[in-house]
Amino acid sequence: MVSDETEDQLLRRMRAADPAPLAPPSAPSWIPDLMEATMSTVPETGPTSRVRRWAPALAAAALVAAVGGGAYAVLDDDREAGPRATPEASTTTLALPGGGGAVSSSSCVQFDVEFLRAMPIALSGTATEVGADTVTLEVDRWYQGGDADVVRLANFDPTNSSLDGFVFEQGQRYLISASEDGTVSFCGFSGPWTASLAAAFDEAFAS
Amino acid sequence: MDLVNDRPSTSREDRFTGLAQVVADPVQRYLVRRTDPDTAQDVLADTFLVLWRRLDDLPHDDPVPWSIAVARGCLANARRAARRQQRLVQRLGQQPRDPGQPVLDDADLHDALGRLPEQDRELVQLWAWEQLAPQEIAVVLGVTPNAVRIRLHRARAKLAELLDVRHEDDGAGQEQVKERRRW
Repeated sequence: MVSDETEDQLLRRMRAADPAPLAPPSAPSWIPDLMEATMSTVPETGPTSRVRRWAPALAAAALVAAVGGGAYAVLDDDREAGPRATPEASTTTLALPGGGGAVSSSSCVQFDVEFLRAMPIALSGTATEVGADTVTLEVDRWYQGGDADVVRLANFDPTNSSLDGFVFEQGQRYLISASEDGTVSFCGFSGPWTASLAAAFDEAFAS
Repeated sequence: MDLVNDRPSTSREDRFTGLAQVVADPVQRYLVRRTDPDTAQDVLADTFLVLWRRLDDLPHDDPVPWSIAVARGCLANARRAARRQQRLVQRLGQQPRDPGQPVLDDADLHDALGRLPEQDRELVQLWAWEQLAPQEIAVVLGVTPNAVRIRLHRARAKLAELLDVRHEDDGAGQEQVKERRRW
């Protein structure tokens, strides 16, 4: 058993090493600025509206095909092997996080322009096909990181109930951001196209 | 004292401002203790976005542990995002600590904390730095207060052993030390 003395010693030693030891005498002066920034960033939603969000991305198989100029074939299309003479619709494959795992969505932020800006891949596209485990998007705009006409989202489990988020529906337009290895980002960094999310994408990738 | 939920007709802005007055500083210090200043600032902003969105989920009693729970989740997200960015650039081995973790002046303590499993480290930090009671720690971690008491007890014991804690004025020597280690 840890004696009381040892516990006291431990407490004193920990407190002596506290990286943030001093509390201000009154509320810090940066609070009003932070409040202002917060309340002006997110359009107010009613208490009853439930915005569905994805859970944080879990480890996933990255299935990125070449991104960028010209007609690169999709990984799973056996007929194609490398660039073609006459480019048809170029396709890129991105990966959705697979598998379950109880991940709480309670700590997801809706979006954060700074994090979004860090995403090397971002696009807007409409779902032309929603399959058993893939979603095909016809890209209408690349914000960053590619220029393929079609993007396929692979490793998609529509029955995954741990993902408290949006669903892919044919004909719906989406904003998608992904990391360098092709893993689609969730927690509000991707989602059905809305004016506010599009505005965030505009702001993030403005330059 | 319920600063936040006094009058149902209070505007969201007012309720939020009231919340901020109470939790902004504890949340900021929670983050500063666990990551580098830039990340702390970013995650603080993330946390407040979530608190703003989830204002109606706020518990009616002390909002600080709940707000810290949100910050903890946002920090985890930020770390995950950072790891994803790094993954192709370098193969990271098992890192015992988050690279952004502040380095303590007490090098032995820093080292010992680094060697604790993550949940044990968090328990000891919430106990010693945030000075939360077990029922408050329970809110932060999403477990029962009883589980907190048991695990915290064990975590402190592990830390003490790693630090090889000795009684300061120990004149009796080895015997007394041996006695104390039997936990």
